[in-house]
Amino acid sequence: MTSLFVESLISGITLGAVYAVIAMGLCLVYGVTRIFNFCHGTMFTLGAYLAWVCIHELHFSYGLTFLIVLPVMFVIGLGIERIVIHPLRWKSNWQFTTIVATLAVAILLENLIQTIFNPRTKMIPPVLKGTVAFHGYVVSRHELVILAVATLTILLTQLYLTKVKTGMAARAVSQDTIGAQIVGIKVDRLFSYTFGISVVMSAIGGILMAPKFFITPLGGWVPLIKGFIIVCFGGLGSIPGTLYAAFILGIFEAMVSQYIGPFWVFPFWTLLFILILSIRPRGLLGAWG
Amino acid sequence: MRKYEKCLVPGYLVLFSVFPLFVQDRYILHILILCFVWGAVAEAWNLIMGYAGIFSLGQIGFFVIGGYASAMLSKLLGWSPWLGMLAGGVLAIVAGLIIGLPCLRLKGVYIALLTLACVDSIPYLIIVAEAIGSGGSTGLADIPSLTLGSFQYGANKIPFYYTALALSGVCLYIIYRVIYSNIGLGFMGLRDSEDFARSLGLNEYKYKLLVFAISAFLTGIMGGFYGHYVSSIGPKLLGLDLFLTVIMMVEFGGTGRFPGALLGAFIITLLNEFLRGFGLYRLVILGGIVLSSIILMPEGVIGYLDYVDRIRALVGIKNKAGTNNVDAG
Repeated sequence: MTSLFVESLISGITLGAVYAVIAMGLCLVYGVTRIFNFCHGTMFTLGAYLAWVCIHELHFSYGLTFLIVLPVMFVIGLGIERIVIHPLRWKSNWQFTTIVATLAVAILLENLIQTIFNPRTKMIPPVLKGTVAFHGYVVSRHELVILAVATLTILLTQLYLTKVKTGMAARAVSQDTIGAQIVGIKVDRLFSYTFGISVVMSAIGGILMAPKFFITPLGGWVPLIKGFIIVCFGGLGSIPGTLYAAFILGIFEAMVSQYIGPFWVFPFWTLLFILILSIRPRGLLGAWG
Repeated sequence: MRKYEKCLVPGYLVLFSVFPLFVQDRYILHILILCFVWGAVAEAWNLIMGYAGIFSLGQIGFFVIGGYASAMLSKLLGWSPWLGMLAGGVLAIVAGLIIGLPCLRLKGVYIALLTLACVDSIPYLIIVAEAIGSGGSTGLADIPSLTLGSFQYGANKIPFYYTALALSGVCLYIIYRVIYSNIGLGFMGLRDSEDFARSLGLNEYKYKLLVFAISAFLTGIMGGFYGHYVSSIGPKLLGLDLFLTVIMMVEFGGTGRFPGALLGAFIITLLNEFLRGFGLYRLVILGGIVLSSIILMPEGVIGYLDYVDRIRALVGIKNKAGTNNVDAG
């Protein structure tokens, strides 16, 4: 009983770490550009598919795969921002048109993936095979890798936002876009970079999750909605809030899946979401209403 | 109100009621029936999203709830399909109010997320409700067809065509009347300047719940009709395919303009059928067309009417009726 509890706790923490990476990407884009990116989930899927091509078809190692896939995803992110979102920004009704536009990008890319890779599920091997026994608790090595990579990503993002000049500029823009423009920050360029970084974070999540679950063309929607729920729970635009929320909800999901059944995971997420929004719409550490 | 909007619903009804006199092709009639259904659904969506400015993404959920309620009542309990459709509409209102209540305290994109999450959990409800005859993940088949007195709607498309036309006409007329009533002014006021509207004494909660109820009711009734028409319904309707297609209709046509979504529904439904020949590439092409249309004309197809006005102004014809320019907010 206790070992079951500890193991699901560990699996919850790993889930939480991946969710944190995905949700931080969403949070970053929302914080800086005020856009809700509905193709974030598709980027998750696309990252996993590119990794599948590298590992399964080209027989690259995981390190090389990350080195190839992440820059490619960054460029794809830049491209989407430039071509799709940039022309719509600040036009009338842009908050709605950007939602529909990113939805359209999602459907386009998903169906492209489906036609190229056929709808059958794909699988990639875990980074490290086997399990580790620790004081009688058994943890798969891949979960530890997920935890390490996700933590590293979160730390790097945090460093980028606090120490690197463009990262600090991104925070400035998220606090006051016009003020940032006045002091000479190139807002448009910053929007593109932020979008690219968030796409890379989503792709990292996709690659990490791929060995645990199957890769399917429509597999990105559940992480997307979960990411949104996490961002709302943590408070729109608040990165510490997003981190807390991701781990709380990851552990919550693992517990529901262990003690009530995997079928109930998604309905419980929705229920929790409604509760959060009715009790505290601002979220845990919401900066904006 | 623009001059042309007054004669829009009657014109629409007259045009399409004489249409079968010239064309009786079953396939074309079928596509037009789909156009009527999606036109009404898209216009109800436009009512809540474009006019009331509430980012509800839950409309397909109301459609499926209406469809299921009507199908289950008529198939399992032997209710008349018409009564079933009405019950479907009423149930959709209940669902709309359940989703609408937490939305009252929320703004903008939170509402979009909440409604999307609710819609995505409906399939789970359907699977759980298999015990009471929802058909589970395979859905319901052999839903009873419509009857009118002793007349049975059979394989002939013409009765279905006129029923769909009448239903969509009624829906459009209701939406048209709502938009230009005090209720419509109320929720447009709340959309454009919430604080000001509230300071004038508008009851925010009342108007928001009312618009949720109206659009859910109309969508639920169309869902009921759709179920009886295609005689099967399943959780597959809640997939992204349909959701994106309908939201594209609204966006493509133009939000917050009266015939906009209807126009979008016709164009997208027809495009969807034309592209069937492309097989797997259909959704890729459709997505591409919609994406480029959003980038090139963010106001939607209906936005081109503004160009007509501008050209008329250039040429020197004054648009006497065109002062109340309802624009997307």
